[in-house]
Formats: sequence, structure tokens, C-alpha cells
Amino acid sequence: MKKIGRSDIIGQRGMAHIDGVVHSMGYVFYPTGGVEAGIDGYIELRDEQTEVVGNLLLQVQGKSTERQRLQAETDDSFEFPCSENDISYWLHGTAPVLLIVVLPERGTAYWKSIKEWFRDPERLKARKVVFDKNNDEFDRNAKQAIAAIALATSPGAVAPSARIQEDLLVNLLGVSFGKTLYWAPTDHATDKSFGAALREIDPDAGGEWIVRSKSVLSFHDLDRWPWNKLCQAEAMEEFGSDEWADSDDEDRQRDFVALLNRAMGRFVQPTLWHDRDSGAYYFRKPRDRDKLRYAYKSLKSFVPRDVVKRYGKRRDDPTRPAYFRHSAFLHRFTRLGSEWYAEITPTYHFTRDGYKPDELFGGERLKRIKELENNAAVMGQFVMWRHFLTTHGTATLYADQYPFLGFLALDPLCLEVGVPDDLWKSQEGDPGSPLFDWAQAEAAS
Amino acid sequence: MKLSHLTEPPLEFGGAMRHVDIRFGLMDYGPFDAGMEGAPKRIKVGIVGSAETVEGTARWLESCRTGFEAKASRQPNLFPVFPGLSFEEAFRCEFVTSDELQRVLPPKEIARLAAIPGQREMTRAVVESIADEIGVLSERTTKPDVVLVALPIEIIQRTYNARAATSSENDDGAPDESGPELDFRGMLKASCMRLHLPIQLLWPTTFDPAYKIPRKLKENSDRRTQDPATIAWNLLTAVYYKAGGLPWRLARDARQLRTSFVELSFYRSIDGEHVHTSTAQMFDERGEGLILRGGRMVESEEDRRPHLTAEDAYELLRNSLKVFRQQHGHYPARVVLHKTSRFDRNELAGFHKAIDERDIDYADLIWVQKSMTRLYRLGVYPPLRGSLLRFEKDQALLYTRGSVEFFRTYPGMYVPRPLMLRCQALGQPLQHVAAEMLALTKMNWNNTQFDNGLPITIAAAKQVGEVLKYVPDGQEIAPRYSFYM
Repeated sequence: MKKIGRSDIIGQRGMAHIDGVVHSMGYVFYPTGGVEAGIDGYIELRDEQTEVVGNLLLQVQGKSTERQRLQAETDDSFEFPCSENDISYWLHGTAPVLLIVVLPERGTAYWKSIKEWFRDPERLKARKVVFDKNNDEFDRNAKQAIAAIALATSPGAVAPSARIQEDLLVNLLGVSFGKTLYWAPTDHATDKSFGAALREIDPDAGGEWIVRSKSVLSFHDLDRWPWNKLCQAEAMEEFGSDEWADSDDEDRQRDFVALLNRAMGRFVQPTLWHDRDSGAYYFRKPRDRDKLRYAYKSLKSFVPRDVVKRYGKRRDDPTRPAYFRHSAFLHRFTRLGSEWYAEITPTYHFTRDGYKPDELFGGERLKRIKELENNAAVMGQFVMWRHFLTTHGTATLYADQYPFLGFLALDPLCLEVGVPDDLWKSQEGDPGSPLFDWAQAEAAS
Repeated sequence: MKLSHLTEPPLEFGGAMRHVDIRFGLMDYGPFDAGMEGAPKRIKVGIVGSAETVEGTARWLESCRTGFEAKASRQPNLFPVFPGLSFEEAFRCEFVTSDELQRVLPPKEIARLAAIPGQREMTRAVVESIADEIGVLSERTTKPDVVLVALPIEIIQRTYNARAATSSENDDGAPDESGPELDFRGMLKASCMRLHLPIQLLWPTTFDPAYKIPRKLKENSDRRTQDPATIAWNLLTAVYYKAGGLPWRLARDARQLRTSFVELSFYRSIDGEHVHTSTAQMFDERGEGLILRGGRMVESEEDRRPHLTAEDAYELLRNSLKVFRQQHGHYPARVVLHKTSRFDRNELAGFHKAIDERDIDYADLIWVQKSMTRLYRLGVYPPLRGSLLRFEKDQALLYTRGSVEFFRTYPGMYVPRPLMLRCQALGQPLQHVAAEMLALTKMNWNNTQFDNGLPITIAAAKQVGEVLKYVPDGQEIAPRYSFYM
């Protein structure tokens, strides 16, 4: 009577499982077949999109078991003992070796890169592989990690792209503005003289106007007090803002941007102040406190951020801070296509006491913090400013909505390829590098 | 708005083989011209410096022969091994030097130069003294192909004030505050031009990282020395190119139009404080760079920036096309003009006239600027190099610096700034123009790490201006880019 042993069947089930998973990754699996000393097959990496294969191979040693309980098994891990012969065979090879333990009864499998695992001499002495059930599962999700192992052994090899779809934010906000513009002749030739005359009549008059060649252009109705005192209201003309906003004439566009900038100054009041030198708007320090927190809706939840804070000690008087750091942004109005946007660039403003700019060291401090901050840090600030600008000045019980300027968040943009952050981070050679160390960036800031 | 991603453009190496990476491409396939007629087989490297720096540089060149190990790093693709110099490795050619190819400045002469008061006087004297030595080499029977100028510390201290030797990267076109100070590098290159010998400056830190070069207080970034393999890659690639070799070229489809890429730029002349002169840098897919000097700028009423008159624009492009024809035997089928400021009405008229005159059907006039409009990923790393955000059919944002899949990291600091491309005349689809722009960032022979921020056209412009401002009007200028980089 002929027989095929139970262990052969178990082994074959294990191979079938591996084969299925590898193909679900879009990679190719070649079972060794024939004579072999322990390597059951090869995985070849393949780009699912372009279907290109580049002879990037990994060896696979499968171990299939029907044991109910694995060695030292807990909810999170188990051990797999290895023979000395196996280990030395694996480590001698030229290609990376994956040890894959298949549990056909449970329908799962776990994997480890053997050369990486046994690089640690302690582990080599213990002659066992400890699998982490949460991280080592051999399924489609292990695809990128497996590619990383193949590539690490072959510098210069071009990897199949990480086809991770991901969302990106562009640092633009949609802009809405007053529908009407008013134009009227005036005797004043400059912004400066018009402004001075205006404030004499009404110190609180808005600043949403500009003077160009002896005429005023304004979001305010120039027929009303106090504007009508300073221009020839009877010669006033009313325009749809679009005549400026959509104009291809460069002078008109420049004037329109100037007007939007004036509106911006008004819009952010009273929360933000403006630094003339850098053009940045920044959170002002509260009169009675050394710190200001601003809670905003980040991508997931509300988070507080210190937007004004004191740092260091003064050498001559250690009770006083060396400087204050204020969260700030630079902005630019720009027309892209047929739409107007505000481009928002997060930055910082440094003061000596919460008020006077830190002229001596401010530039150096800004440079330093910029060297430390990475994409995630800057994105966080952008999201905060986006929250501020899209919610500030909306109508409340006590105040009407600001009529001349408003901002709209844009939807994230989807890209078909992405960056596998965790995978790359594990590759960073210098873990102390401030560039990649979030905690360090925070601590230094 | 439409977001997409351009894959890393491949480059062409020896045997028409392709690779996305410069160093691995050279290692695997050799330089583009390997085996071709005229490819350097034996590059004679001249060295000028002090006894110490000449000896150190010669020793370094010798040690390059056996190669340098890869930097211990978890980014094996970013810091590969330098495999050494032989007919089988990387450049497939020898780099040799010998006593006849070297000139040593006596200690007394160095002391005299370092003691000259006044930045301008001292710079002039140093340039003259070094150019004289190079002149001696140029008249020898065994003439070097390239001269390495190994600067002694005493001279570096005096000549390099606010600028570093290779600061073409990360340049935002910020006004140079050194004002009337003379730029040693530009001046030396200008004065060696007539000797027909390309030069390569190097610091003692190249051959001995232990050298400490005191820096001015104003300079805050430490000059971190690169690993020996990276230094060898960068320096020898530049030398190979300067010696007439062609390390790689853009991989282009045979069906694509024969294109000439021209960058137009302005530089401020040294003689008159405010006189701007225009130049054109021209590159083809081989990266063959040709330099032309054009007319004086006029300040446009439109934006109060330097522009060409219609006549000068016409002349400059007409001459560029003529040079292209001399090189290739025919006019290009397509012209791509790059400029870091807007093309004004006069320039558009002048360029179109030159293009029409030659019956060139395809022209792309592209205004390229570093942008503050950015994309943020939801992660540690910035967006991928190659990310392209199209606003409309003639305007897009292109990430040339960013996370690089091949390196598996972002090899830079802070969040990168993308380029804003605005096509003022569009002959090819924007996607194509952007892909080409990305490919042109890989044509920098001074850097073998391929993710440069600027296309070679624009990166070269600054270097060209810095050299040309020291070449008096009327004097012939070297047309090859090797004399400026």
C-alpha cells in the first residue's frame, strides 16, 4: 500500500498559503522543487502597476505546523526554535532569507528576516526566533517591509514604488471678498496723507482702501461718513470686485492685492499683530500672562498649542525670560487659474519681552528652529493657521461677520504614490538626527 | 488643481544602459561615452598649491585608485562605495599626475600673498599668482587636461569671506552682501579661461578631513566634510567632465524632438555697479553646455526688473541657435527657454522672431521660480520629489527636492521649496515640460547625488555670471560650461 505522510500534507498546505500571500502582494513565488537543502522557494519582487520585475529575490524557508500551542506562545508572541545547521545554512547565503511559520489550521502565517534577526549574537546563542504576532503577520500588508529587506542587501537596486495612496495638503486657502468696490477722486496723493486725514476725523475708520493717482479705491462705501469728507463722493463710481479680481491688467491686479492685504490687516484684529519688517502676522502676548495657548481642530481632534511662550533666562536678570516666541505666518494673495488664493507660510516671530522685536537674535533663532522642524511640524502649524483663518471673524452674538474678506479650507489632494514613513524611519542611520526626531524638535522649541 | 507624480527620470550611461542613479549607473555601466571615440582614457591631472597641498592632493588621487568604502549608513543607496579608478571601474579611465604636471607655490610667496592688506588687492594678487603657475603648466609639452587648484589654508582664510566654493545649491538669488569684494573663485576661473585649461578648486579637507579651516563668525553652518567615497565621486566626476568626458546624459526617446534648452539670465558687471548683462546657457540632452554673452539689460516698466530689448532677445537666441547648428549640423526642432523672471512683451517678441526665422515649430518659454506654495504630507517626510500640482494648463508646482524613493529618505533640511513653472508659450503638454525639468536637475556634473533643486540651465546661470563678470567686454569667452562650473 502506498502512502503520503501527514507531514507532507501539512508542508504542502503551508507552501500553498505562502504562495497565495506572495501573489496577493503582486510578487511572484517560485517553489524550489527538486533537490533542496531547506530553502522552499524564492520571492521575486514585481511592480504591480508596471508589471516590471528586476531580479530582486528573497529566499523563503517555510515551516508549517498543526501544533495547537506553539513554543512559549502568548497572545502576542511565540518562539520558533532553529537547528544550528539551519541557522548556519541561512546565514551563509547570498540572498536574504525569510523564515515563514505557517499555521494552516488558523489560516495565518508569520515571518522574520533571518539574517537581520540573527545579527544579534545573543539571539544567535539562544537559537530561536521570537515572532511578534501583531507585527510579523505574513499577509499582503507585509509587502513593503519585504521589499525593504530585498533592497537593503542590494544597494543601487530600484524598488517597485510604494503605491500608498495618500492625502496632501496645499498651503493655500480659498479667498472670498467684498462684492463691491468703490472708486472716487480725492485731493490726497498718497496712502499716507489720506490715512492721516482719515484718522483725524475717525480714529477707528477701517483701512480697507488704497490711494492711487489721486483717487481712492475701497471696499467701504465712499459715499458714507467719514470717507465722503475726504473724496468727491458725487463723482464716486461703484464696481463689481470682479472687474479688478479677474482683470489681466497687471496694475489692476496689484491694486487688488494691495486692497486684500489691507483687509487682511483688519481681518486678523485684535488677536494678531503685524510685524512690518518681516510682514508676518503673529499672536500677541496677553497683557497679564507670559503664555498663550490656542486650541484648534487639527486633522483629528482639538489640540492646544502654545502660540506665545517665554524661553530662557536673561543673563543680567534671571527672573526675566531671554525672549518670547510667537507663532506667526506670512501670506501672499495669488490668482491661480481663475481663483484667488491666500498662500500661508508658517513661521515665528521673536520678541524680547512679548512686544519689542528681538532684532539682535531673532534671525538666528528663526534659522535654528527651521533647521529642526520637519514636514510634520510645519504641517501642524499650517493646520492651525488654517483653522484660525477659516473660523476667525465669523459672526457671533456680539459681532457681525467681517464683510470684506473670508477664507475657505481646501480639500486635501490625493496622490497615487506615497512615502512609507515607518519603513523609512526604521532605516534612518542617525536616530539622533534632529531632522527626524519629533521629540527633539519639540524639546528644542 | 490636479496632483500627480512623475517617476524619477532615468539617465543614460555606457552602452546606452539606463539607471535612475548617477553613481550606480556609473558603477554598473561606466560613463556614457565609454568605448566611444574621444572618451578620455588617461586624464592628466595638474595640481597647483603649496608643497603641502600639492603633495596631499597627489596622495589623495593615488588613494582614489583603490577606492573608498561606502559610508556606514542605513541608506546604502545614498552613500555608496567608490569602487576605485581603473579601466574596469566607474569611469573606465585612468587619472594620472606627476611632477611635470604640478606647480608648487613657495612658502615665501604664500606668506607674501597672505600679508597683502585689503581684500581686493589681495584677491587680485592671489589670482594672478595662481594663474601664472597654471600658465606655466599650460605651456609644457605634457599639458594637463584639468588642473586641481589645492588652496593652502592661509589663502582660503583670506579669499573666502562670505561664500563657499560650491554654493550653487539652495540659492534663492538673495542679494550678495559682500558688495564690492571680489569673488576669488569667479575671478580665477575668468583669468584661466585664456589658458584653455579647465580648473577645479579644492580645499585641504578633501584629502584630510582633520584640517580645520577657521571660518568667519558670520558663517554659522559648519562645513561638515563628506565621507571619502562621496568626495571622490563628486570631484572625479567633475574632473572627468572637465577633461572632455561625458559621464551621462538624459535618457530620451528617439521619437522625441531634438531640443535645445536655453536659459537666459542676467549678471551685474563688476565695472559699472548697476549694469546688467545677459547671458544664455545652452544645453542639449548630452548636457553639452554652451555659453553666450548677450546685450545689456533694460529695466522694464512692467515690473522694474532686468529684461532684454526685443532686438537683444532676438540676437541672443539667434546666436544660440547658430551655435547649436555648428555643433549638431542642424537647427533644433524645438527650443525650450528658461528664465527666473517673467518674459516681458519685448522679450517674447524678440524670441518668437528668432524662432520663426528658423521655422522651429515647437517652443516652450518657461518662467521658473522657487515657490512658497507648498504641499504637506501627513507624515515626517516631505512630499516626494516628482510631485506635480497642476493649477491650469500652463502653470504647475514641481517638487525637485523632497523625499526620494531611491534613497528611502529626504536628503535635506527643513521643508523643501518646490518650483513654480509658468509657461508663457506652450509647445508641449505641461506634464512633458515638467518631466523634462525634473530630468534637467540631474545634469549637474558637480554633484553625483541626483536630487538637485534646480535644472542645470538655471543652476549654471549663476556660476556663469559669477565668472563672466570678471571677463572684460570684448574679450573672447570660453563657450564650454566646463570653464564656469
